[in-house]
Amino acid sequence: MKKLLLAEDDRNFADALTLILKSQKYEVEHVRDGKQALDILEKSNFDLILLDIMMPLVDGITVCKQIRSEGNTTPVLFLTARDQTEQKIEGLVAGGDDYITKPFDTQELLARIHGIFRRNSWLTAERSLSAEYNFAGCTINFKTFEAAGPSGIFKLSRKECMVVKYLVEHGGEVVSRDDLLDAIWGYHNYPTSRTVDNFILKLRKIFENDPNKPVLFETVRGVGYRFVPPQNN
Amino acid sequence: MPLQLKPRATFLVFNFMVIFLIANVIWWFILMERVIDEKIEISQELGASPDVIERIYEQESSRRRMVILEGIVFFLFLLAGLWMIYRTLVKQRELRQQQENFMMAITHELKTPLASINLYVDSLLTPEIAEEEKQNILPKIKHDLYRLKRQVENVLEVARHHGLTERSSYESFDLSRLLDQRFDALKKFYANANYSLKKDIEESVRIFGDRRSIGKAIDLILENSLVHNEGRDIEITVELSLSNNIISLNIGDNGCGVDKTELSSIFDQFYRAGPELTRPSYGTGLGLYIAKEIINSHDGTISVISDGLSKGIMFTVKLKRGKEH
Repeated sequence: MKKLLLAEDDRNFADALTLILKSQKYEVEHVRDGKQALDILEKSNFDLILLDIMMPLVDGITVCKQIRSEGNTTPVLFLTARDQTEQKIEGLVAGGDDYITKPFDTQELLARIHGIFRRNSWLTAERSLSAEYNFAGCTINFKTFEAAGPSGIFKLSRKECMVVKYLVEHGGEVVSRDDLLDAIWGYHNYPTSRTVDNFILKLRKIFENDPNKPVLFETVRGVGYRFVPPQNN
Repeated sequence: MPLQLKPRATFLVFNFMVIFLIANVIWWFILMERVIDEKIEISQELGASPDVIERIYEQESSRRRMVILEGIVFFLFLLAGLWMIYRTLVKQRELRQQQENFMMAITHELKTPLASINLYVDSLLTPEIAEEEKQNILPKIKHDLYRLKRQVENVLEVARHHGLTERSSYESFDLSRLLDQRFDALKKFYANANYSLKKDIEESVRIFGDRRSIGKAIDLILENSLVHNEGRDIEITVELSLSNNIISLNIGDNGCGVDKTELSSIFDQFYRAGPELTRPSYGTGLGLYIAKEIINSHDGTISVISDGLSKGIMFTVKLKRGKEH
C-alpha cells in the first residue's frame, strides 16, 4: 500500500481528501502545518507528499525547498488555490513534481497521482538502462539521483534525472520540447517549453566539458534536443 | 516602457537633494563672500570713503542673505514635494500589497470549501466508502457551505459599502435579545470549537438602528475570536450595559491576542496580521473592517485593546441608543 503525506491546514478539505484517498487504498497521514510536515518527513518515508502552499508556520514552497536541499527526493504534488502561472512555476522550481489547483476534479487528482507513480517507476526501472549509466567520463545514477561530470559531483532533482533518462533512451534521435514535456511533466498545460531549455542548460553545466559548445546534449534549432551517445559507449 | 517612480528611488533622490542643498548653501556663502571682498577692494582702489565702503558691505551682505534665504525656501519646497511623493508611493505600495494579499486570501477562502464540497460529493458517490462514514459527510458539507456563504456576503458587503448606512432600514429593536440570537447562531456553525461564553448582559437594552447590520457586526467580532483561536480552549467574554443613553458592548477573549504594533491596523481593509503564506488562521482581512464600518455608520465607535500575543483581546463598541428612545 502506497503511503501518502497530506499537509493541509483546512480540516474539512483534508478530511474529505483523506476519505477519497483511503477509498483508493492509499495510506494517508495528515499534518496541519508546514512545521509538522518537516518534522514527520525527518522521521518517516512516504511515497508521495500532497502539499498545500498556504499553510501556518512554514509555507508549502519552503517545505519543498527544504526537503529537497536535505536530499529528500519523495515526489511532491502541490494542492493549492493559487492558480497563476508564476505561482505554478514557483512550485515546480522549488522541486515540486506536479501542481493541481483547487477546486479540482477528484478523478483528475487520482490520475495525477497515478501519473507521478508511473513516471517514478519508469525512472527507477532497469529495462533499457541500468541504474547507473556511464558516458563520456560522466556518471548518472537514476536511483540515487547522483551525477558526476567534469565540474564535479551533483545531486540532481527527479525531473533532471528524468530528462537525462528520456534523452539517453532516445539517444541519437531528435526529441522535441513537447515530447519532453509530455513524458516528464505528463500534461500539456505546463507553463512553458522554456522550462525544458533551463533544464538542458543545467545538465550541460554538469556533463559538458564546455557548456557553451555542447557535444552531448545538442540543440536542434526550432525543434528540441538530441543526446549524442559517445562513440566508445 | 513608462517611467516608474519607486519609493526607494525617490528616497535616494530625497537624500541627494538634502546633501545638494547643504552643499549649495555653503558654496553660495563662499561665493558671495568673495564678491563682497572684491567690491570692497575695488571701492578702496577707487578711493571711496569708509562710510561708502560700510554701506556697500551692508548692501551686499543683505543681498547675500536674501539670495541664500530664497535658495533655502526654494529647496525646502522641493524637498517637501519630494517627501510627499515618497509618502504617496509608500502608501500605494502598501495598498497594492494588501490587495494582493486579499486576492490570495479570498482565492483560498472561496476555493478551499468548494474543493472540499466537491470531494465530499464524490465521496457520497463512491461505493467503496462505508455508509456510516457517509453519514458524517452532510454536516461537513453544510459547514463548508456556511463558510462560503459568509465569505461571499463579506465581499458583497464591501462592494455595496454605502448600503450599510441606509437609514431606511433602521428600526427600534432589543439588542440584548439580538446578542442571544447571535450566540445561538455561533454555536450552531462552530459546533466543534472549544469555547465557553461568559455573559454579563443587561436585559432589554433597545437601540434604533439596522438590526441585520448590527447583528453582522456582532457575528464578525465573535467569529474573529473563534477563527484566530482555532484548536485552543478559550473563554469569550461579552458585556452589555446602558448608561446615559450610551450603549457599551465589550466582546473579548483570553486567546492568542495581537501584537501591540499591529493593533492600529486591525480595522484596515484587507489587513491581516503576519505574512499571507503562513497565516495560522483563515480569513480575508474584511471582517473587522466591515464591523467598524457598520458601527461607524450608526455614529458609534469601536476600539480594541490587547496586551500582546497570547494575552487575549477586547473590543469595545459604543453606540447611541438612537432618536426613538
